[in-house]
Amino acid sequence: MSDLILGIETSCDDTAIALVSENGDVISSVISSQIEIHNEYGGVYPEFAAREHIQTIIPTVKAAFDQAKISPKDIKGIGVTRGPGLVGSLLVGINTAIGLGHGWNKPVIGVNHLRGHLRSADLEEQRVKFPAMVLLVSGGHTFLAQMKNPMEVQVLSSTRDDSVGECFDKVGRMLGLDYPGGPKIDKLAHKGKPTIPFPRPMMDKGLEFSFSGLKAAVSRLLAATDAHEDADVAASFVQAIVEVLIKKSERALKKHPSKSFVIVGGVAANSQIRAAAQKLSDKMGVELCLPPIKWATDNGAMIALATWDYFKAGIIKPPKVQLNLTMSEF
Amino acid sequence: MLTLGISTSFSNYAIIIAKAGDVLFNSNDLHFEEKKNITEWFEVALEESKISVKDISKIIVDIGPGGTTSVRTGVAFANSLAYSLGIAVCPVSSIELLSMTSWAQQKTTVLSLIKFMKNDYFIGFYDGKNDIRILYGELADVLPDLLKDEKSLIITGKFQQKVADLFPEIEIINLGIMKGDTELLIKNEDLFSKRALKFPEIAFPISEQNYANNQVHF
Repeated sequence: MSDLILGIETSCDDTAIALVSENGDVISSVISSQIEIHNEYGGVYPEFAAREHIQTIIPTVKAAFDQAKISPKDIKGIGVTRGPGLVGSLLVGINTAIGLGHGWNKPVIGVNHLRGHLRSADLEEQRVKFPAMVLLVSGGHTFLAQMKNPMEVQVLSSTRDDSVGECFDKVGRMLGLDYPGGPKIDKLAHKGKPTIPFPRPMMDKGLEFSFSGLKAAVSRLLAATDAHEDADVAASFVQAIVEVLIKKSERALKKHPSKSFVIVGGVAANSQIRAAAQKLSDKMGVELCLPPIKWATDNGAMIALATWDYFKAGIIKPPKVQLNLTMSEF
Repeated sequence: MLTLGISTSFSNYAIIIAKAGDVLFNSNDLHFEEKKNITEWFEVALEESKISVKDISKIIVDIGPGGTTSVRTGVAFANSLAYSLGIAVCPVSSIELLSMTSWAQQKTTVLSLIKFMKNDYFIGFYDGKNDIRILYGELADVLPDLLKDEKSLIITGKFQQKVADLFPEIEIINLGIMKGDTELLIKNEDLFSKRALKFPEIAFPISEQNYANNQVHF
């Protein structure tokens, strides 16, 4: 058969395995989450993440094949995240992938995690129309890029300091919310009013982002007074984030005309960002492409789909860890 | 039917391939300018020994303690290769390899010490008669009971002085053994094979966590 790719994603705290066809159909996807382990630390504890990956990765691979009801002989190859990410976590995924490749006699390709995120919008349904403006908002990254096709990506701007996801998690911790803070802040924000005028960093200039000042402003406010309801703090914080992301995206769309506006990464699950992105897309006359929420966070399916791109382009990257892999690399 | 030995606990990674106890390939016999990771060594082994992966029927893997990341690379590779070939993986501690290396040189009780976290050590006690005992903790807490009947012993690793300071009455012999002889993975194959794990059981690198949870298989 050989018409499926096994995708392996272990760059951070999820052990994620999926089997995906060339056109993005997800035949199976299994994610072993480590949220409970890292919750008590308020963020990902890298050593414990790597330990957990090694315990769960083989059972997760088995579960993915069981769910798909296929045999390893039916796959074309294996794609594995080679960076960016946590070194211990990446090495478990890569060494596991190489072992499986030898045992099953299948090629193993190292894949850029960021390219996986960019492709997540085309999982299960081909949504993206090129050229596409992409906003990647995750725990590790925040950038705007224009994709001319699945392989040709021009990064337009990125964050100078914290990523949006990092900012969400840290503010979540300040508000006493469990890790990961993003979904909980989103929920809390719906109960509050955006009454606090938090700064909108670099709002009026260029396409670059900066979120450390906003994070510090929330911290200073909470240290100075307990006069504000947590829900109002959350609502005000989310409003500041959304306004910055949407303003920068609008500016990018004006400068780089695109047919679709794509938002990927874990923060793309935020309901207010999704709503604001729809308004912007309507205003700019572009099609909004949002991956279903389950594909917004780290998953093996996006790595498998990106691996298909590599195969088709003849880019056979050896599965070697590269911690600071950038968007322009493969 | 071939046996594959993998060790990534010590500074020199090892891939050993053996047939019925005879070593066909040992990565320590080769030298390359560029440092190789364990999977690259495995590919060299396949090429040099002209074997097929399908002929491997058993994997013996060193599960540490050692550099936590390097140990994990070896164990992750061993687990996935064993799973994909449908064969067993047999875990061996680096402490055991150290102790057996010493015993092979001199038949005297061996205390092997590998520092792990803060002031805690993995401590191996091997007298050649009984299975190795592996304990974890601070030397001052663990050693008094363990060494109460000892008059002399060999200490492997680099912490002889710490033991000498705690137990000045014990004669300490230093054979200069800092790392284990990885060929012992093959020489003691019969012993290690008794611990064979087949999926859904897999090998775990040794840590203070799985030691406390009794998840370490020796």
